Amino acid sequence: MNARHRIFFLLIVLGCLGSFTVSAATLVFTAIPDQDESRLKSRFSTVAAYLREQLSIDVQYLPVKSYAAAVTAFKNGQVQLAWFGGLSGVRARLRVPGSKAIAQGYEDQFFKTYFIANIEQTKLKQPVANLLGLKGLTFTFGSKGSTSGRLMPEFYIRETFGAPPNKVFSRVGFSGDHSRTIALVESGAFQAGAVNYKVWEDAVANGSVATEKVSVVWRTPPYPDYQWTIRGDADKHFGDGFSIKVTAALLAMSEPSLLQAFPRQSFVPASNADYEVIETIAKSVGLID
Amino acid sequence: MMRSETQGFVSGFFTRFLPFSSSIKTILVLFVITLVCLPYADLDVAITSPWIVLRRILMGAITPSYPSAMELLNALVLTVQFAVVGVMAAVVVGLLLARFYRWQVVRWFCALIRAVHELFWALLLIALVGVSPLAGLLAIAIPYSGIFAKVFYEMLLQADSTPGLVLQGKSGFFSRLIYSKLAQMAPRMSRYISYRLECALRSSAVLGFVGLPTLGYYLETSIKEGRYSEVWLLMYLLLVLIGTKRWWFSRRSWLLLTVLAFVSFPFSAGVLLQDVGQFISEDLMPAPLRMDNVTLESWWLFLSWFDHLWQTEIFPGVVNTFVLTMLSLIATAGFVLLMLPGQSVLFAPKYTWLLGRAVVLLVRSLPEVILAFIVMLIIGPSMLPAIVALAIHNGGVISYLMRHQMDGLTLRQDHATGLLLYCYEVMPRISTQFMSFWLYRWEVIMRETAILGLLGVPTLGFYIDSAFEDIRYDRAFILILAAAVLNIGIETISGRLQRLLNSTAS
Repeated sequence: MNARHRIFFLLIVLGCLGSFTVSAATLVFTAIPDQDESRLKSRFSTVAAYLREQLSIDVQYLPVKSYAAAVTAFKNGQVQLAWFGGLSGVRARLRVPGSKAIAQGYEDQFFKTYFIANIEQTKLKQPVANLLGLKGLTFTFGSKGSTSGRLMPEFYIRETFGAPPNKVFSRVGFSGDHSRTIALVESGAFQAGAVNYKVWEDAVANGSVATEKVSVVWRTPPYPDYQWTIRGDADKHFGDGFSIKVTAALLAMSEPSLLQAFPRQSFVPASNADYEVIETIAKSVGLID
Repeated sequence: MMRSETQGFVSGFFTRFLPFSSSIKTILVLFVITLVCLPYADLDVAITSPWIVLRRILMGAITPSYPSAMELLNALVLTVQFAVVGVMAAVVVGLLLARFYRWQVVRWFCALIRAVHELFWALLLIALVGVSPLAGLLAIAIPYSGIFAKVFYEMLLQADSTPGLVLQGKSGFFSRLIYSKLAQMAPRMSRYISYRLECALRSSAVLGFVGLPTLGYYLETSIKEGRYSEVWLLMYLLLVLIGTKRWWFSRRSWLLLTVLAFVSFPFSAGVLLQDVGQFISEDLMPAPLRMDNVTLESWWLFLSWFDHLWQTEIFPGVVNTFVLTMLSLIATAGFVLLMLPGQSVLFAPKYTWLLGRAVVLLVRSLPEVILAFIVMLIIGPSMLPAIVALAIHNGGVISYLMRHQMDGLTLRQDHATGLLLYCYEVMPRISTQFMSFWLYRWEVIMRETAILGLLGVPTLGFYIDSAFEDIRYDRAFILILAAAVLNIGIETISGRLQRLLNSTAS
C-alpha cells in the first residue's frame, strides 16, 4: 500500500514538472468567431502557420469560445493579438491602454444587422419602413456580447422607441447564436429577432432557412464591426516595428483558404477612431460604463 | 438532539396537528408554496410551427456523422481526463471539508462555492489564472468539492458510531477515520463518486470556454449552429461513455485511470497567475468605490449603484429564480413517479425495464439546454420549457439514483402487483430515500436555472451571465452573493426538513 502511494505521488510530481514548457518569444492570438464556431482550431491553425512564416517567430492560436474569455485573455496579456467583434474590441482596448485596432475585414467597414420576423405570426412579409411595427412582439437577440446580434439592434430599438427592449417587446430572449436566432424565429418560438447579415445570407444561399416562413423586415444602416487588435506593449516584447510588421502581414493575406477562416474577402487598414462610434453607442445603451 | 429539532412552534405544529406522515406533510407544504408562486410564474404558450426544425433534429438522430474522427478521439480522451482529475481532486478536498462541516463557517463556505454554476467559476477563474486547462479543471473541482463535502458529511453522520467507539484510544485520528467511518461509507461513496463522474463528463462543456476541445465543447458548438447530425453523434458518444462508465471506471481500473489522468494533465500550461489583490481592488470592487481615496460621496454613489442593481436585477432575479425553482421541484417529483416503475424489474415486464433504463440514461445525459431548446421550439419561450427540461433531467437523475434501492427490495411471496404494489408497498418503503434525493435536488435545480437565459426568463443566473458577458465582475460578484444567500436559505430549509423526516422515520 505504502509503496504504491509513493509511486503515485512521484508520478504526480513528475507530471507537474513535465508540463513546464512555455517559450518566451511566442505570439499568441485568439479570435472571436461570430458565425461559424466549428473546427475553429483547424481553421485558425492555418492562420497561425501563415503568421509564423511572415513574422519569423513562433505564433500560436488560443481557442476560446466566449467573448468575455477572449477579452480577459487579451487584458491579462495571455494573447497579444486578437480578432475581435466591434463591441468586444472596444471593451478590450478600454482595458489595455495603448492597444490598437490595426486591420478589419473588407466587409466590416459596412456591416449590417437584419431584423427578421416570422411571416405567419406577424403578417410582415415585406420590409417595413421602421421598427415601430415590431412593438409588442416576442423578440430574440443573439449572443449578449455580440455587436451585430445585440448592441446595434438594441441601439436602433432604443432610438426608435425611446425605451429599452424589455419595455418594447412582450418578451426578450438571447438565443446565444445567430443560427439559433434564425431557427427560433423560423419555428415561431420568437416572432422576431436580430441577426448578423452574413449569417442570414449564408443560410439563404445554402437553403438552411425556409424563406417562406421567415423574412427580413428591416436592415440597419452600416456600422464597423470585426477587427484585429494588438496590445500596445507588443513592440516592447517582440522588437520595434513589430505591430507594423503584423499589420502588413494581415493586410497581405490573400490566400482564399486563409481568408476563409474569418470569412472575409480581404483585410483593410483600421484604427481605433473607426470604432469610436461603437464605443459611443455601447455607452448610450449601457453596455459599457 | 433530533428531538429538540421538532420542539419549535412551527415544526411542532407541523408534526403534531396535521394527520399525515411527515413526508406527505413536507410535500404538501412545498406544494402550497408552489401554488402561491403560480400567479407569478410566466407560463405563456405560443403557437409555433416547429416541424421544420424538429424534422431537422430527428433527421440528425438517424444520420449521425462527424467530419473528423481524430478530433472526436482527442475530445473523448480529454473529456475523460478532465472528469476524472476534476472529480478525484474534489473528492479529496470534499472529504477534508466534510470533516469540518459541523462548523457553520465551513458550511456557508461550501454553500457559497456550490451556489455558483461551473460556467461562472470558469469565467472567474480565467480572470485569475488565465485561459488554461487549470482554470477549466478548477471550475469543476471547486463546486464539486462543496457538493462532496455536504454529501460526505451526511454519510459520515449516518455511519454507525460503534466501530469508532471500539477504536477510541487505541488508534490515531486518521486510522480511526478510515477504519471506523470511511470503511462503512465506501460503497455509498463509490456509487456517489461514480455518479458525480457522470456529471463531470457532461459539465465538460464549460471547458469549451477555456479552449479545451472536449466532447461538450463540440456539442455546444453543434447545438448552437444547428448541425444536428453532429449533435447526435456527439450525444451518442456521450451516452456510450456514461452508459459504459462502470466498466471503464471500475473497482480495478479507477486507480490506474486516476494516476494516468493526473500524470498527463497539463497543470501549468497557459497558467498566468494574476495579481489577486489587483483583481479584487479593480475588478471585484463595485465601480463607485474603485478609486484611491474613497470619500463619503463615493459611498453615496455606491448606495445608489446598489439600489439600482437591487431594483433592476437582484430582486426580480430572486423572485424569478425562486418561482422557477419551486415549480421545477414539484414537476421533478412528478417525473420521478412516472419514470421509476418503467426501469424497475418489479414493474416492467421481462427485459422492458432495459428500455426504461435506456430512457432514464437518455434524459439524464441530455444537457438541459438541448431539452429546453426542443421544448421551446414546440411551446414557445416562457418558464414552461425550463420547468419541463429541469424536471425531466433531474427526474432522470433521481430515478437513476433510486434504482438500486428499488430493485433491492425484498417482497413477500404474496405481494400485490402493479399500481397497488407501487403505491402501497414500494413507494412507502423508499420514500425516505426519495425525499432526501429530491430535497437535495432543490438547490441543484436552483443553480441550473442559470443556464436557461435563452428562454428570456430573467433569473439570477441570467443576470450573472449578463454581468460576466459585460465583463462587470463587480456586479457578477454581488449577484453571485445573492444567489449564494438564496442557496444557503434553501439548503437550510431542505436540511431541516430532511432531519425532521429522518427523526420521525426512525
